[in-house]
Amino acid sequence: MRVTNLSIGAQVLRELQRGLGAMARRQDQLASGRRLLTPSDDPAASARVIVTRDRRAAVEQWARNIAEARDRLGSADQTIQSLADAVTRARELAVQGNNATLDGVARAALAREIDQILEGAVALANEQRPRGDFLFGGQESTRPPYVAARDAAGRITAVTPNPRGIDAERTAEVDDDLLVSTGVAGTEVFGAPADTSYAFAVLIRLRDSLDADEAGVVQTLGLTADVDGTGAAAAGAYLGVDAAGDLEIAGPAGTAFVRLTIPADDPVSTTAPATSAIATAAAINDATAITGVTAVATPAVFTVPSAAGLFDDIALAAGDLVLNGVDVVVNLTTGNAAANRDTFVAAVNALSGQTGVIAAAGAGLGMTLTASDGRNIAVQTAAGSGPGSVAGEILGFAAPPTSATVVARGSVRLSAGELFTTTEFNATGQVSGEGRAGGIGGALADLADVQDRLLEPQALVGARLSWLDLLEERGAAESVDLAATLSRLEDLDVPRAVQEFEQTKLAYEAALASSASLLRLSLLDFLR
Amino acid sequence: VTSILRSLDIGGRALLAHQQVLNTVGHNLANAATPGYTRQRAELTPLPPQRGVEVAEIIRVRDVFLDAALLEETGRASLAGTRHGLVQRLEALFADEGVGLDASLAGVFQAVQDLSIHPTDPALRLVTVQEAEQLAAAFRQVAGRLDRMSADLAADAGARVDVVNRLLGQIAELNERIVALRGQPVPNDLMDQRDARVSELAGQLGVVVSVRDNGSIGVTAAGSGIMLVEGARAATLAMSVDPGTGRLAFQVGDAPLTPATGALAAIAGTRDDPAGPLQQAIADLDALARGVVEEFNRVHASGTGLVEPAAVTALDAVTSAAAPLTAAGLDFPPGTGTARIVVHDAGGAVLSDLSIPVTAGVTTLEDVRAALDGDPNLTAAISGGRLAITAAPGASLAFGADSAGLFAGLGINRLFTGSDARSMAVDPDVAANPARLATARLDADGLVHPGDGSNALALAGLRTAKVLSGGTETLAGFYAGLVARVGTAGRQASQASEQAATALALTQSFHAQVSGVSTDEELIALTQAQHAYAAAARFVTTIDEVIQTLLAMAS
Repeated sequence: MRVTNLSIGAQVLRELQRGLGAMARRQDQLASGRRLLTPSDDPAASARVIVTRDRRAAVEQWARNIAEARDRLGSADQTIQSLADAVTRARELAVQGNNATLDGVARAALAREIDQILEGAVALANEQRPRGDFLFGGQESTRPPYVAARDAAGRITAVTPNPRGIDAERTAEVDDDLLVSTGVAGTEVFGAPADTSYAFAVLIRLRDSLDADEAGVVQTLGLTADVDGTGAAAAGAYLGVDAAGDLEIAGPAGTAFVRLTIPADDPVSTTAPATSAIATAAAINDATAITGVTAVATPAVFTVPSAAGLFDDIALAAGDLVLNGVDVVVNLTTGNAAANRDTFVAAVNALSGQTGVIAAAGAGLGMTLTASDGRNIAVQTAAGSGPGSVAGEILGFAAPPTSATVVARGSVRLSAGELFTTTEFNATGQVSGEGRAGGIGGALADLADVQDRLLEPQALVGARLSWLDLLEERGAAESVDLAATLSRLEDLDVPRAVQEFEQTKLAYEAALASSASLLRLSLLDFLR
Repeated sequence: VTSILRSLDIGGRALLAHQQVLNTVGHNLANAATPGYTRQRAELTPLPPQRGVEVAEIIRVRDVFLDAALLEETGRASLAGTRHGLVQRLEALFADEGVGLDASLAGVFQAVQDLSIHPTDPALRLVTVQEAEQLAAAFRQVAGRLDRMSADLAADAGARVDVVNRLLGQIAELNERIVALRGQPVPNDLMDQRDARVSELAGQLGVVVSVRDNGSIGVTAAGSGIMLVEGARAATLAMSVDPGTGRLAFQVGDAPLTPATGALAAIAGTRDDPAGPLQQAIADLDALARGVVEEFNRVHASGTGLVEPAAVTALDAVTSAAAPLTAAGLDFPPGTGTARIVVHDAGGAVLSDLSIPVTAGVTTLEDVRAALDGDPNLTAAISGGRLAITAAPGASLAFGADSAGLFAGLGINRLFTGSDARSMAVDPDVAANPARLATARLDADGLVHPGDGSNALALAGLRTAKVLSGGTETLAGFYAGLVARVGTAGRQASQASEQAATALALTQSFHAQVSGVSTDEELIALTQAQHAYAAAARFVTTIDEVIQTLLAMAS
């Protein structure tokens, strides 16, 4: 083979360039610490780097979301704990207040503390997160979940939840397609407004019961009439206490179930069974020796509104209008409504000895009927559209009763020297109104429910938090794996690269040295 | 009978011949480092009958097969080398610095994830809009660079066409001079110059050379055989950019020419080949951008932001309100399904709750308008092919589940505008008012809860959704594929370039073996010629002495 100077030069140059190029590449890698400088260095690894980095971004995101969810759940946990503490304190106060030896001033102080607890509970319910959203507001993050209505003195009278809904879940993604709820629904914590154990209502009731006027230890049982103001059947009409155990009275002397077994013996009731205030009072008084509680019947009052009367051209015959079992017979055809009304009042009062009902003219064409001894006021009118039904309309009823119907009952006022409670067990709840003692006792029972309800969200939050711990651990492990993968894909194995660099350098130096001595050689050196 | 003077003649010829050999050696040594120089050799021939020696001719030592091979390899190596350089430039656009498109995409996903947890945080909304803008800008930037690269390549090709034309002219001129000399003397050095020009030409454009009897050469384009130089005539290569396809077109006269090898072939192939790396990257990038726009808008248009507009106007116009929406020139035509729109009063309560049915290929924009306008709390009108919806005074519009992609297709309640990498941008409504970012979804009653981040979460869910390549690849996966394809192209180009360079070097080395100057060899030739010259001189001296002797005999 013929070798020429130019070809040697070109060859040497090419080899040196190649060596220098390899060294420059190693140097680039060493300087940047990266194995992949351009996609062509390893196209498959470059693609995997992108996909792996995408996954790592997601895992990091999930870790942040887990932290955020834990933060929120932790806040919820603390808030629920604070609420539980507050309810516990309220129970202590209620127990103190339920003690007969406490005087009114001390009870008022308790009421003030309960009021503070109530304010605190509302504040807890409306707790805001640093970013301004509400812990128990669900997805309604710009409106407070609970709004308190206040009276003139600034005291909370009712707390209502946001009508747009507060229980929609707020979630965070913590893994592929895995959502975790980052909060607790307000209703789960505080109860629904319709519940007897709605936390705010219970506290309000407790406060008001403690704060009740201290004019003797009294309690009033309001007895619901059979019909309401329009004549329609009233819900929860009082049926009397004829069943054993309908009414429990725990008085200073002891506890007794009141039962009225002899409605026919009631001398004044006109309907059976005896459901009047006077009969109920008598039954309670029968047990006074056991309970130490005495009862007084208060009058039954029926008010006829002014616009109701039709005192024109009516002649009431026997059977047209029966008041407490006595026919009211009267001629109202003078053509003057006011005069007719007065005539009617006089006619009723003429029968007072039999009916026990006294009539009085009211404002305009109105009037009131009063049974002052506490007996019921019962009315019956003739059927059909004759004067009888017109007589019913005199009472202001759209559909006048055709059988004897109690339109008004008195109430029963209970009193004792010391605190007592009444508990009404009749399912339809014919007794309405609570005395102070009963209010505290009832609130105490409800507070227990409030407290019990808190256990569930607390357990839920605890479970969710420990689950998040698990997820976080797993995420951290995956994060480490991904970092290792990425490092393997794109980072330089430095010791090896240094070693290879040294080898490349050595080869380059050898090429330099050999080519230098080769190029120097020439026949000229040896020719004279 | 021979004359003694004839012996002197022999010596004189020998002196002359060896001087010429010495000159040739000197010329060779002088040009030992001249590129393209072919070593010359003085061919000595004995002159019969016994009349000494003469230089028959001074030849260039060449091998015509190697010449042709060298020309071909030069073209190939230039093609592969230029292509490698171009693909490397392309690769640099997708080089992995962690700040590429994938990082921008990840930024958007992170922002909407964060937003899904805190939808009411105004700072996060701003961040999300900025991330979206950055993503759009990244797409535009890469697309712009690809476009600029395409333009640069056209300019580069234009400059190379000028070089080609200059070379063609020079070759024709050298042809003319060589022919004019008619072999007296043999114009070896002009031929070397011509060969160098041809070699340079082969680097730009594949050529084939044929030698004519009169010493001129004909140059034709490799592959097509179009005549570029014949004798003293040179053709002119012209280049234009096809206004329709944007591709480079080369012509000689009226005949189109496709460079087979050389730098021009590399540029045209890299730039214009639909399967080439540049066009492939542009197509991939556009497909990715379109996928991002389509998917984000599809989800975004089904949600509602913190602030509801009182009126909206579609950004995309249809060509005809009476034509089915699928054939109305929309970038993203709606399919079949329903689109829900709710009118809220100032307090956020529901006034109207509409579900507009859309059937692909049937429903027209006019149908949509009529359906909307039929509601007492809405007014809808079409102006310039764009749908405008206005809520009753004091009321506002909220958008719900849009299974047909109706609103996204019309350009209402979108996150991105545009349909490819070049035109991608954040919707101006959202950019101006980040509260319009649709993070929430209407609940069953048509109410919007500001703390609802479910739509933002659905946007974040696009990270793992396989929406590209016929539902087989995620957005990031597709981008990874793009980078891998560019990387593979770079690797192939690099390997091809190396192979071609090696082949060229080998051919060059063969060529140098034949035609290169070896100084050692020349020195030996020099020594030989010196000795021959000295011998001839001695011969002349000897003859002179013989003549002196003869003359002395005579006196």
